[in-house]
Amino acid sequence: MKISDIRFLVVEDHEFQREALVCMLADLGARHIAAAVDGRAALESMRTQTIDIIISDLDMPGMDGMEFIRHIGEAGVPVSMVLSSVHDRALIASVATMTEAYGIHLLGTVEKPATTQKLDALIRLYERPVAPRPKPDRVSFSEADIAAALAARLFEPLFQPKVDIASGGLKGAEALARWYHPEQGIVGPYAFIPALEANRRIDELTWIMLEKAAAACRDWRAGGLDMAVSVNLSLRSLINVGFADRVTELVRAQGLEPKHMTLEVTETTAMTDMARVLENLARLRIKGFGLSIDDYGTGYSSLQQLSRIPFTELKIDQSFVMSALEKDSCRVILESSLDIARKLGLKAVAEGVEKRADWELLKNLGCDVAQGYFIARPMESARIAGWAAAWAAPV
Amino acid sequence: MQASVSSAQANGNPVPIDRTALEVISRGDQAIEHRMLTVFRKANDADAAALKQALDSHDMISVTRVSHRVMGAGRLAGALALADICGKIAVAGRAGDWDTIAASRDALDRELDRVNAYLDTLLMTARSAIIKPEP
Repeated sequence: MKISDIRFLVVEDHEFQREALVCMLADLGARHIAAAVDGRAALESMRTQTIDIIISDLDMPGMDGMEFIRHIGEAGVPVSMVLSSVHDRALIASVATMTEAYGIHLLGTVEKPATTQKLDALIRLYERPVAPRPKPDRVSFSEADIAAALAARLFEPLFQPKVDIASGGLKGAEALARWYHPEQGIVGPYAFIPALEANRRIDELTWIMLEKAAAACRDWRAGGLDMAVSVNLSLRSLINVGFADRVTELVRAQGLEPKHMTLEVTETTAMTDMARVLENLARLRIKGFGLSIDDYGTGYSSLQQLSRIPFTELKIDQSFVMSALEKDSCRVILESSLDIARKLGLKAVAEGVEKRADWELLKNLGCDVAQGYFIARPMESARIAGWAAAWAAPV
Repeated sequence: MQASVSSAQANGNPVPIDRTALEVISRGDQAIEHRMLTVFRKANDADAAALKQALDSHDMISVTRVSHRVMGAGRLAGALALADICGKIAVAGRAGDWDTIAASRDALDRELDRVNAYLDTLLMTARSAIIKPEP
């Protein structure tokens, strides 16, 4: 879209800075530029004209940038935003997160002093109209619906490849549960995992996933792919002391070794029956399964888990990976997580790798394995071999 | 007067405004640069008055906030020494370090005087050049 067609609103209380921003936009070719001294004046201005991109300061007398953003967000105004501030990066990053949490399309942030080049780079990201964000599955299902689906084994894994960053080689794939609903189509996990956990039926889904993932891994390996499969595991499933033996039997029944399966453990609730859970985990490790601490850095007790569970893999949460290039705090957490993984002798896996720059950063930081849309979206088991044949790691 | 500015640079006494900062924004258009410097002079006056008032009344929150503003505008306008002093004051303000703020006061006053004198001279010269008829 041509910049001359984009309608800008500069919200800045400092007269000189406002003037400078207007000059920069004009220099870039903008022809529709409005200006306001604070959030209140900006809202007033937006009553009489449509705005495509707002460039807003944060710290303003009268209505500050945060309140202005809240009004815009709550009103659902389809506008894109650039945040400009002299404050430190951590603060700007926090307001950026807040802006996105209000559902506003954030083009990026500019640490003052703004320059024509900085603005140009962000404006180039603008696309009109702003597409509404895909909402997580909002359809709610009754307990009876879910019970019927479990009985009919309508849950299927899709697989997202995990790739060795240094060699580019395919190392494995994570099984991600989907419900193949006869009327709703393919339903994502947000629509059923909480209900399964609340109804204490998550175990049933886990066993379906374990069985289907093991079968898929057997097929891949039979087809010549030297790879493993990862399956998500709720700590609740580990309260049953027979779990380790049962999963070992299941894997061996498919002709696989335990080393061909990694169990990704997330702790979202307080661990109960810790002794039983640790008994199972120790047994799984002894048998040769990989144990991954999933969503590392989120939830609680991550560090405590690291100290008491014999993990083999540390999986850094996607929120840190996806924002590492923009937010200093996320980059520091990413680097620290990789350092912890190295020092504990764990394989480091980064999820949420969505662009080449993420891949390059992880490569430079010495991360072992990457997973994310930049490499591949989740796919059905049968498509893995074709994808692997076509996959070429970035040089 | 432009000559005196240049000679100040030549004598190793750097001018208080790095004009290349605004040249980037104005793309060398002297009318735009002149307008922006005029706005900066006016806005900086208001900021300086607010900052001095905050300093005189030991209002740490306002000192931090206004010095931050002056720093941002100063960087943009090329008043780099002024921006540095205000940056130091803002950091001290956040740390509650009044001693550092007080110790920066003289440097702040001197730099504000230098910036204002420079801008007044520059803007007067520019106005004269505009008014002066072509030979």
